[in-house]
Amino acid sequence: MEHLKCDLKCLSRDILADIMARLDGSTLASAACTCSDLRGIARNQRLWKQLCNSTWPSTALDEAQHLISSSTDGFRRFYADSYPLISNDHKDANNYFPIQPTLISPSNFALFIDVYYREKCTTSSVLDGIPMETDFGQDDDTTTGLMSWVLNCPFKVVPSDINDEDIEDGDDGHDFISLVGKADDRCNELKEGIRLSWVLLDKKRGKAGNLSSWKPLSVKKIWASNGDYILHFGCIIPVQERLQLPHNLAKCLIVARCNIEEKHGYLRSKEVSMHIEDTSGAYVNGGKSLIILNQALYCSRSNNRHAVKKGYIQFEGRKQEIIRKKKLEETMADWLYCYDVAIHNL
Amino acid sequence: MGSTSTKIKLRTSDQKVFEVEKAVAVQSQTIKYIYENGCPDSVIHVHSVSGDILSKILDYCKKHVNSAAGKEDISPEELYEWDANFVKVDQNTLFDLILAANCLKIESLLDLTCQTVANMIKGKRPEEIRTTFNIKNDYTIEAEEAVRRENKWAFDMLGGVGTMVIEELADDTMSKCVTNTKSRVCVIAANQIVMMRSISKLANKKSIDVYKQPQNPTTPRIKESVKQRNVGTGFIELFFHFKCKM
Repeated sequence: MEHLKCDLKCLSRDILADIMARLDGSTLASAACTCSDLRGIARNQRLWKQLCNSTWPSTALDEAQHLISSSTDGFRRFYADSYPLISNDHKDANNYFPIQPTLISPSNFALFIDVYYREKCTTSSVLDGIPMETDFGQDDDTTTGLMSWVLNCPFKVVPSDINDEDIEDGDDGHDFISLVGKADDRCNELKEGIRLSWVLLDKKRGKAGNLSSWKPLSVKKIWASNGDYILHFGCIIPVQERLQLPHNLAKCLIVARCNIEEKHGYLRSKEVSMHIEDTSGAYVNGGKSLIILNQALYCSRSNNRHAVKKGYIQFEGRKQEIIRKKKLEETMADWLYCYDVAIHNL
Repeated sequence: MGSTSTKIKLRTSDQKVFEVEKAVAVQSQTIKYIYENGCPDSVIHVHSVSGDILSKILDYCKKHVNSAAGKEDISPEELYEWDANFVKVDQNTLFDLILAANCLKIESLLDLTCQTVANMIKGKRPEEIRTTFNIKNDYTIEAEEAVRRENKWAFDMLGGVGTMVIEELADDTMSKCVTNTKSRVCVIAANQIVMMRSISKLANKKSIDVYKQPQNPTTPRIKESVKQRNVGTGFIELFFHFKCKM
């Protein structure tokens, strides 16, 4: 039985392991930096696996067991990569762009999706490989890619098959989450209560990243529907120049659609999907999307949610700028045309 | 007491003898095993526990047995508070309690004491953990740099010089803190006014201790009450102004 050279020296390794198992991820990482003995205990993959399973219940599902390597440093790195959010920090100008492999296949990736309401996980899904509507293997030429790729929503996850009629049937209680708060304040309740985590894992290289903003970036009610709301989550990813996106930025947008039954406040998640947009608001095609997703895993991270939100607001600002510029150009073109016509008619 | 209550005698490492009711003593699985498998009338030796520690442990067991049996009129919250006060002891006593609870196999006490130590570590940067537990840094400079790089992702979540308060985590940290024995928030930012929004549920909690870095770095950390401002949206904005402590 090894003893530490400090006040903790009287405690056996088993007791220390018990204590360390009660810590959260960042404290565990901090404890590992104190001395080599604690680092040894903190390296125990079981501790990190427990943390991963409690933070992202999707990692505890049966389908997920083979995805994260439990033999080496797998769970610790998964937690370290996925806990902080992707932040487009301008100060950090040295963005590392990994050397792109010639072929990025959607089957290289796995997705872990968790939706939470008021700190309780309501939905968990695991996808081994990004489901694409067409077979990737045909070609990697992005020009013909436009024809064979799905341009928007490269993949979708639907938590459960729902028909509209089911919502009236309140018997199936366990599928519904009851919202707290007043009926007229649902948007705010959703904004404060719903959290979403969308973790992408590169199975081969063991790199992971959380593409969501954790908190919703925006919540909108769809007035034409019967209590449907759309929530946006996402992150801003700096991209390489060769992808030729305006401002060299891409927005990874996760759209969650849910329904709130007005009478009892039952919340049901309808659909969650993800796609990538550039600053002009255009959807990025499948080929580029995969490259961007790969790059996202190497982006700088931050736990500062303010910074993440700031990055998103800046992106939206640039988007508005582009829209304004376009409108101005169109107006100018119209005027010039009218002027031209007028001149010719004189 | 009458014949309905059996007493068990316990002898500690420093030769003190305690006589306790069986119901209290068998909270310890070790004592229970020895009692059931040995001679009921003899004195049970608890070699690894000193008189003071055993006395405290017996207090704990008695309280919990009485509360479970309904002999004492105490609500779960009050019992929780009692437990919280029970572990407000110096570090050495706390570690002795852990070792004794481990040896005597009293699961609830082991759980309580280990959680207390875990709470002492939570949210601290490595230097602070080292100070709290008098841990010697046995890393070489290169090794320390390497391990810090490896764990860099965690550092902006922990209190320390130059960190910004993260809104969501601040809520979680605070709400977790107020349910622990020590309501403590490590919130430090260098030369900045940090506004931390806290959800209104915290207004109902008992107390929030805030450690604020004073202007003069040589002054020890002082406990300061939280300045609250109700901004009418159900949120309370908490303002802290910190000076950098190098």
